[in-house]
Amino acid sequence: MATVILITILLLFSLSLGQKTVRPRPTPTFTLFTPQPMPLETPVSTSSGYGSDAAILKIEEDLKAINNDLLSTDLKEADLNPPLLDWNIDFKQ
Amino acid sequence: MKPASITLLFFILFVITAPAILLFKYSHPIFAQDFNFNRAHNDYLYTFNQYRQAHDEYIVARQAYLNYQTLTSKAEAHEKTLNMLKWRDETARTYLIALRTKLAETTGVVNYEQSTLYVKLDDDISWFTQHKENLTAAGSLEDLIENSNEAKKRYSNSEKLIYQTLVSILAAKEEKLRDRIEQVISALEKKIAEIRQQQDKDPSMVERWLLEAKNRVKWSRDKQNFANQIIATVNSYDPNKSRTYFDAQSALEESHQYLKEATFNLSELIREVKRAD
Repeated sequence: MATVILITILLLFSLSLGQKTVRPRPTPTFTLFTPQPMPLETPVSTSSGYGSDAAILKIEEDLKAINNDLLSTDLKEADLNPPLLDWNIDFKQ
Repeated sequence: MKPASITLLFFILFVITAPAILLFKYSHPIFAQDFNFNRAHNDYLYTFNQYRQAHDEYIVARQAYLNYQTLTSKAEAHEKTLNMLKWRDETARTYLIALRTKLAETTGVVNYEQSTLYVKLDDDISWFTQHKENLTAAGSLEDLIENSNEAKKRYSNSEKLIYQTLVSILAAKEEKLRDRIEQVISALEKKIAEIRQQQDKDPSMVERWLLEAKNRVKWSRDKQNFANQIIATVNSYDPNKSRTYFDAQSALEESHQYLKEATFNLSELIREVKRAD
């Protein structure tokens, strides 16, 4: 009886020691540095009273449309180059 | 019916129909309202392809005649040369029509210049139409060669007109874009005057930037005028007409670049106006 009690106490003691000794190993975490994208336009931190002016906004829209047309204009018109025709017709060797 | 009545009837019919016949024969080509550049250009491409095939057949027939000198090979050479020359005239004609249609669809061309080019293009279109019809009357290879040389001489003049029209088309595009930018500049000038009056923002910097943009618009116009001067120097006997055209085209590309820079300046200007001091 005494032996059983002793063994039980030893078992309980060893369990409590195991819980204390087994510690979770800390997992190192790596964080990659992702640079923030640079804004294409400098954000207007403070805007003047003309930021929402109707005339200014209209001009801005017109400029965007003009810029798009400037970029898409065909300056070559290669389809309209004159055809290559043989004008030298003869029957000489 | 009495002979006098029949004579009178024929006379009346002649009086009615003669003007219509003359109008049809001698009028300039009339273009249907639904005839646009795309259709004209497709017609030209189809014709050009037919010409190339006819030219290949002409080359073969020509060589066969030069090699064998038989009556059969001569007849074959005549037939293939005639066919090729017809397609060549038709190619020149449809190309000129496509060019004319493109000019018509490109707005902003100065009226006088537009009408002068139209008249000259119509003349050449009519000439090649008539020349093609006259080819059938050529009875020999020598006649065909003579007809071909007539067309060659005429086309040498047409080339000068072609390059002038091409520059006119490209310049018209620049003119339209420049007009729009000038309207924007005009609107901005009014707005900057308003800002200066209200004294709620210092407009000095935007005024300088506006001047930069106006300078670029002016340089763009100068380059376009330079392109017009270049193409005005081309003459019918110049063997390097295309070289002169490409020089004019380069000047127009520089004109276009100045417009891009002006637009960029104006965009920066707008951002500055919107920003607080």
